[in-house]
Amino acid sequence: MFGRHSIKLDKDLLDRIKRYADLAGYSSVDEFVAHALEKELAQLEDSDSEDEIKKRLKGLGYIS
Amino acid sequence: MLTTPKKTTFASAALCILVMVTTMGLMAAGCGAGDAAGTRVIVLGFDGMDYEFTRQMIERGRMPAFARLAASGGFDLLETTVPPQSPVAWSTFMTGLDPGGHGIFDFIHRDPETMLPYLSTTETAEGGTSLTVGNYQFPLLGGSVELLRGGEPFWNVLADRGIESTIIRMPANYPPSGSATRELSGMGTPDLIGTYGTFSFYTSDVLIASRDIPSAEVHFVEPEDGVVQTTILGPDNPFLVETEKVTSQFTLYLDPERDVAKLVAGDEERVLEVGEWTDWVPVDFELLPLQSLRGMVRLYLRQIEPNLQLYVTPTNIDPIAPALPISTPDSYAADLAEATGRFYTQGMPEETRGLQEAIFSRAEFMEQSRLAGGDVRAQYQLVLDQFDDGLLFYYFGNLDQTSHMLFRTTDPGHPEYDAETDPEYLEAVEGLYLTMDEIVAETLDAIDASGQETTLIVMSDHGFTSWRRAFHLNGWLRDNGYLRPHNARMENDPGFLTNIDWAQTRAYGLGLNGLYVNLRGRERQGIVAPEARDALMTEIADKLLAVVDPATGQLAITKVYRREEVYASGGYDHLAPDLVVGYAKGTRCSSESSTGAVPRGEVIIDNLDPWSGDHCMDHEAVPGILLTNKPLQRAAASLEDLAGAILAEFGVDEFPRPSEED
Amino acid sequence: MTLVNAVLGGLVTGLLYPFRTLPPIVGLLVVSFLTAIAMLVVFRATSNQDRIAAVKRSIHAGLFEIRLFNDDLRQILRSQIDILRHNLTYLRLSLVPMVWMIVPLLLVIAQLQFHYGYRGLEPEHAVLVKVQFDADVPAPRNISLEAPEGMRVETQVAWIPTLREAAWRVVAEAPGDYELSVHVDGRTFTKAVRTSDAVIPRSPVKLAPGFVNQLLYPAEAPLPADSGLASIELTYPEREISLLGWETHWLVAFFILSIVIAFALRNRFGVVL
Repeated sequence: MFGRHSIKLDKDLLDRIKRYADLAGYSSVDEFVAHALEKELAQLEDSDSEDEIKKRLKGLGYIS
Repeated sequence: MLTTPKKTTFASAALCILVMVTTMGLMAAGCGAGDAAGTRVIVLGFDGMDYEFTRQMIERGRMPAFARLAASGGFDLLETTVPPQSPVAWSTFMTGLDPGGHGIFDFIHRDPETMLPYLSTTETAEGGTSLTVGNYQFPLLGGSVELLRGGEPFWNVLADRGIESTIIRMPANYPPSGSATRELSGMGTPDLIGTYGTFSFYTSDVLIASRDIPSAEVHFVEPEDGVVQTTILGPDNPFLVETEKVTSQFTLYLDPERDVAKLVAGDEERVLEVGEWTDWVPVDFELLPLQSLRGMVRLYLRQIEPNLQLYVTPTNIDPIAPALPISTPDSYAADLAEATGRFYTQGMPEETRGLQEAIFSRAEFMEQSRLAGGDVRAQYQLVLDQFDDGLLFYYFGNLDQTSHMLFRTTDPGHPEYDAETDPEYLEAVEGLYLTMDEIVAETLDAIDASGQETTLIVMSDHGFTSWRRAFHLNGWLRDNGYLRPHNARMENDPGFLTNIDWAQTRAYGLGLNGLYVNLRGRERQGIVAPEARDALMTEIADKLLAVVDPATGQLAITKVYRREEVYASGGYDHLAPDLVVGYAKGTRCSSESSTGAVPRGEVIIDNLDPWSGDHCMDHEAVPGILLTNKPLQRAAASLEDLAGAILAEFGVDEFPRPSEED
Repeated sequence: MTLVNAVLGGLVTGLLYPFRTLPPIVGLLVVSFLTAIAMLVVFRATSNQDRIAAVKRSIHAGLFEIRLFNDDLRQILRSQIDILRHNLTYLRLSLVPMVWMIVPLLLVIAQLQFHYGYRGLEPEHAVLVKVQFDADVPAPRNISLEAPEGMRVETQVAWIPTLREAAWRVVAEAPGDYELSVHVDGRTFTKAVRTSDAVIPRSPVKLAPGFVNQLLYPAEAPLPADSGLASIELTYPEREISLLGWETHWLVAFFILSIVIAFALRNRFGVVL
């Protein structure tokens, strides 16, 4: 498919991913990997100011 | 010789112009003040005072001052805003505009470009350019705090006419507008680290210390020979290249035998027993050698044995030496503090989070709430004494915040109602209303004593009710195929819209009443074509209005408003929710869904949070109150009309004023 | 030393008595005026006026040279070195009157500190009372604080072994002069407390006897020699003095006023400063 890349993974890692993708409720390994990478990226991209904004928001009593 | 006549000519011309300008200025001021000179209007804003509860209390003869007002000027319900949330409602009150005009639609907004949620009223901008020397950087342009509310506050009109105004703790007015004669900022004023209130808790209890409490800094401390040396965390040091928080040290000497301790923070020393609060203790955070940031805290020694538990309030801006602008003129906050003592400057000072997280018992929360309310009340007496003429607006937020924690006591049908202990706290809720009655009584006495004609307006921004059922809006959108989470089985969705698969999501909920279409061209990863928006909104609204709560058999949602239907277009359309959900009385959006999480499981669940009262529902279910000591020259039926009605007392015909573009 | 303090304390208190209810700056102005005159007299009597005049002339000459030869870098440097040298000489010459003045000035400042350094306790404003024990005495078995009518002790004693200190929170309920009693294992020690806001002597600390203690803390008679206590302290709030609208420590105001007045009067007294 257009824009798709295949990524090589260690067999052992792939087995573990398969096992946990299922346990964690993902419909496919692809989805799990994509989400995991997205989360990791988000953390890398997350600037301090974003953290601050989240922290500020969590102080609001309306949202426990 | 040649220069002398020139100088004289120039001097006389300058003098002439000066005289002319001064005279014109005086005339203009005179004209403006005109028939409004000597007009006195006092507006008391009681946040969250409920119409129905007030009506019953008056009928039972428990609020004599309110009854006096009802008899002389009238008592009516005041229509609140869509949605009925404090920042929205107060912004509408002060600008006379609906949210479309002032741009505050909810406590929580999102930036459609980054899809990042944020608090709607203020933004703290980072400092700009900086100069780096070794480990230090020197901000060349200071960081600034910006108020995001648009529209013009009504006291601008008074300022233009030379009429004095004193505006105390108006919500969504931080930093203060600067146009009132005297102002003190209120809800929206951050603590020193820029949050709505982050408290610190010091304990030697491993179980408590290992808990992750939002909006709290929990420190594990182990006393050595009865001595605890620790720090209060401050903001990031703007002078350091590497991000590092500044701290303020303090030492606690414990005497476990007698349950008493001595605190040493800088030059300040206090002795306090278990169960006691200190007064405000100034604390300094060193930024650079000889350059420090001043804040202040109150400490509550909860217990020493078997383990230490010490609560420290969020570090408030010290009104005597404010690190951020909190008043107009700048010295006004200090003047108030010197007259009646230091006071909470943080926006919503009641420690609701402490009770929600079981750091406080209900009695401890009530004590803290009493302290916070006491500051405000003592200050009101002073401000009322000093009030001469013009407008005095004074805001009281204690009833709202305390009602949030106690309102289930009014409702035996609440899932957490405790027949044994709740009746006692129902009296506390009534006590809050009695306190407001005392404040009105004091005001009426002061008006009588002044012998001057004064209009008194008592109002609230919205009402209150028990919050029984929580609605997972994002869960409902998921179940109905409008939203797809990345991971549908995630145990604890961290929220902030991070678990949403935008490529397969057509609508999402954020904030306490907001529902947004994932619109192409507006949202970063929008997929709904603009021409399909309308039909999608109709479809979702119709389905929402048909949702029945299985536990009660009642409708869960009684109103769904389209943006176009309720808001004028004032340049903030991209921030406005496409649909505003009016939950049925007793039902509110869940906390999880409000912050952009997609909770698993059932859509409507019992509200088991100590936060047991609320008002972020169908706005018709939670009207506010309006009482006056005499009929107003221009009647007001809704919050939106009220600013115009207040100005009409000063002879002003038109508000909001047409903007220049019009 | 106690006798010196008693006499000096009586003098200062007596001098300030007429001004006790006026704004603090009034009395301070009088004290500064008297201090300035005293400084001038001492300076005249103890300094070598002729040499000071000569040195000052040399400094002026140096400055004049710099202006005159402002295109000759070497000459400018030489003149600057000369000025520095003369300045040092000037400092040395001023040292003698300084030495004469320092002891009486220190005694007066110590007295003034207790008049101007602290505000009286405000009714219902809590303060700490701290009792410091000597390092070599055993920890007390029984210790308590007794407040007279008009004051109350608000907390249990906090006994802090690491500091060898006992501390309480106390409050004055009404203005007045009081005496707190500290009971330690059967013995009783007292501490004076003053709550009026007038300019009267206040003693924040009562110390064990000793020359330096008495020199620096003259406002209250010392503790008995065998008390086993190092001090009894009461944390009076500090007072700021308003000097033309500028809030500052009284000592700063005192120095500025004394120096300004001394300079203004130096010719009248025929003193070269």
